[in-house]
Amino acid sequence: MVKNDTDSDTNTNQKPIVNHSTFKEVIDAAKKSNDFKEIRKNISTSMVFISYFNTLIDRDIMQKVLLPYIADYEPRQNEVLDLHTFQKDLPLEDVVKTSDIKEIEDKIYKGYVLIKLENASDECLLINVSNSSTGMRQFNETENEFSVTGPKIGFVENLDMNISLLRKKLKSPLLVTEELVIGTLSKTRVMMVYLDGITNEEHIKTVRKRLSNIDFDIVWDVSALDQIISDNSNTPFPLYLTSERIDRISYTVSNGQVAIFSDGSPYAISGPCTLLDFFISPEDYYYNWIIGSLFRLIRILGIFFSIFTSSIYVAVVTYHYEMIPGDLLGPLIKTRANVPFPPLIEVIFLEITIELLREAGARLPSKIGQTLGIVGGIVIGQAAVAASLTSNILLIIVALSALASFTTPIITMSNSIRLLRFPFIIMSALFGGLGIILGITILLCHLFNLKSFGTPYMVPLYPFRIKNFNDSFLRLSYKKINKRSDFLHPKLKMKYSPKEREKRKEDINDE
Amino acid sequence: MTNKKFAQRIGCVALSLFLSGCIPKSIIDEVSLMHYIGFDREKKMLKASVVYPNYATEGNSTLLTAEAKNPSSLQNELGHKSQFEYEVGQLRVMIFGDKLSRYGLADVLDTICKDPKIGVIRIVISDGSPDLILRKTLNKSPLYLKNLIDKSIEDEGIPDINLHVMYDQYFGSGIDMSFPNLKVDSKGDIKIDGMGIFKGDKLKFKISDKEAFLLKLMMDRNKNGVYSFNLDKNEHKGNIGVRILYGKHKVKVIKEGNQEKAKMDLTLNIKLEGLPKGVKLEKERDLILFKKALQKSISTEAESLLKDFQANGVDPVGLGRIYKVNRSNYSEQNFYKMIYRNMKFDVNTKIIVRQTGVGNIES
Repeated sequence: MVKNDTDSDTNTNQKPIVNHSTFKEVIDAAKKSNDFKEIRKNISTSMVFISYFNTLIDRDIMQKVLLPYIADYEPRQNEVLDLHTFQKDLPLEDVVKTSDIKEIEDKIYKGYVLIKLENASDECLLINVSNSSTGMRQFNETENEFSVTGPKIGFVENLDMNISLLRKKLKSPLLVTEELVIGTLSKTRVMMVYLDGITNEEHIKTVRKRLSNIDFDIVWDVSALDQIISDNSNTPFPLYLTSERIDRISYTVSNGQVAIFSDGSPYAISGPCTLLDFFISPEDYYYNWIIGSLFRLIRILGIFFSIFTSSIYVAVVTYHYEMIPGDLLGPLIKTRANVPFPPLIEVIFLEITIELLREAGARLPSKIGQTLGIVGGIVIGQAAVAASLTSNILLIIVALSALASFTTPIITMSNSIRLLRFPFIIMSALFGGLGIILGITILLCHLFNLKSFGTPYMVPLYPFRIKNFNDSFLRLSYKKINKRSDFLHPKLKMKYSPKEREKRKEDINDE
Repeated sequence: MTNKKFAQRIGCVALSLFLSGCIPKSIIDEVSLMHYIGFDREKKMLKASVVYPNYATEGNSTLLTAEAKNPSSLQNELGHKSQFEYEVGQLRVMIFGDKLSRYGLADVLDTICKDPKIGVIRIVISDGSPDLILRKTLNKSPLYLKNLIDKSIEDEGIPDINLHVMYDQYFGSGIDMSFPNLKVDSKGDIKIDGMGIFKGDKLKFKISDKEAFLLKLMMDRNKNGVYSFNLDKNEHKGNIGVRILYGKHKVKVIKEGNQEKAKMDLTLNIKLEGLPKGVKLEKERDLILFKKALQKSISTEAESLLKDFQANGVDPVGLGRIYKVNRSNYSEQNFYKMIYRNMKFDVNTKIIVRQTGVGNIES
């Protein structure tokens, strides 16, 4: 909460922003670019300048609406053209009359057309004919957060499209969007979205304050904002939920969280959230609650499996041979007998191989990526065992723990889990079982210290809220999860009130 | 973060990296794991026989023997003969030879009870040298002997004895040690044969399989095993094996006049597998007759076993412990010198027939 308060003074003294004070300077600066066009037209005694960036505008509107409209004026030679009447009849919605140099400069770089009369005062007309969808992809299927059932619509790079998608899900007057412009170079439109009257004011204020305090050049993606506004930047854990799924974001917003969208990013972030939020998949809600809960528990189990198995292998094989069950001794020793490395090197070698495979698979086009998975997984794995670089059992352990880390629905979290494995492996190689326990202690201390927009990160566990277990570890039936989480302090607690169903006592034989 | 703090943290990490070199490692394929160890006494020396499984090559296990005057140098002697460092963490069975058992186990027990790496292992004694038994296990699967003993304890009527029970019996007061007895039979197979009852650290005498089962009935919660007895009543004659499924034992030491009396109540649920001709359990009379005969047989045999213990001055059932519970002025010496010697025993058995198998064989 305290962060970014001292930024204001550093802003002023090192802003290398061009500061054009006159209209001419603005136009001259723009003319340096070749895609800046200036059309002169002679309408009723006065010269009209029409200037715009032809790469930013929508040619359709320009040619079918604006230019014919201006051409209409040309025959009326006797009338004195003034901007007021010109603006009044213009069949376009976003038209601004201004003499503010700053605004003019901002807007022509956003795709507005500037119209200025030669003789008139400084006032000129800015008409929005920008094309927001040029260069944007049109299909919006989710690319990374797959689901088997349920809608597969995701966000795209276009902010307006995203907001309209969200509004299609939440058709409520309560849904409020606040727009900010962030980035000294990119001037990116960033929108925070919340439910007015449900989301706690504190969260809205915090988010607004954090966002407006940002000083940054180019907002590459919403994830950059995520890192800048983060409560603690020295943590491997993501503090805000990042998702490309509409159902996921509308769910968090409806729960009383604040979502942040940024133009040009197909992801939205949402906060304040808790650690367990990252293991919720929208699919849990599309299945029956029993199946949903089971899958969620398996996913949470998968985290522990993923973080600890390879380190436990190292600890056991290096130090605690006593605790290996008798029947497992044979296979373990037999496969390890020919491996020349100590267990640490063996594990690190294989873990890095898996990370390489994943990284290579992510960089390659999807068709080659699949082949690589098979080649890497089967061929390299088998060959490594045959060449006695690793043992069979370790291969299974590492492959399974990599698999388990991929079950986490949110990619940022699954990355952090994969990262956490390495310190644990090193700790277990140094101190054995004690090292793992030490690692867990440090990890828990760190986790319990984390905050997301000022609310504790480990919520259902600390502070302990037994009621939140309904929809964190488990996913109970819709009847039971009709309240918003306590930790968000929503102004309206109930989401909906399920009606009591009439109890029927019919015997099946009564049919 | 200030520079100093940062340097401190880096220092801690660096220190832990350097110090980690001091931690003794025992990488699983670079230690000699032993599964069985046998101790015996030979020519006034302590002799140990150790069996190492060869997991890496899947060959037969190896038997190594070494002799020394004390257990610590014995470890050293063994170390001289093995390829890798020798580790006791995977020890499963410890065998004491007859000679050592009679001489006294104190030296060995004191050494092994100080080693935290030794887990819950089975302890047995053997007729003759443990070498003979260990040699028989070499071409068997590595955990053969351990499984054999475990299974016997699980459902063949041998009392559940392991290292922890042994500690309790050896260091605790009011109870004496008893270990299962192994031998190699005439056909060359390893076999469990009764138990050895100790007084202090010395083997006092051995009891038979059947007596071992009675001892189990009086000590263990698990009462699985087969009891055979002769039915000889009216015209019904024959030897019957009765499988005891589960049951309870209750031991009390009560004062009767100026004599202490150990009262033992056994409630046993049994399964009948075969009956001699003529006995039909459907008949109330036959059932009662059979139950009474069995109850009497168990009671008298148990009593005579207790008297045997008494005559030898040993107390594997732990009557001293039970006596101690209600007496504040208990002293172990006093109990065994004065009270135990003159104790009377009364065993009451209650039999409940739970299962008789499917169908009626005779009809």
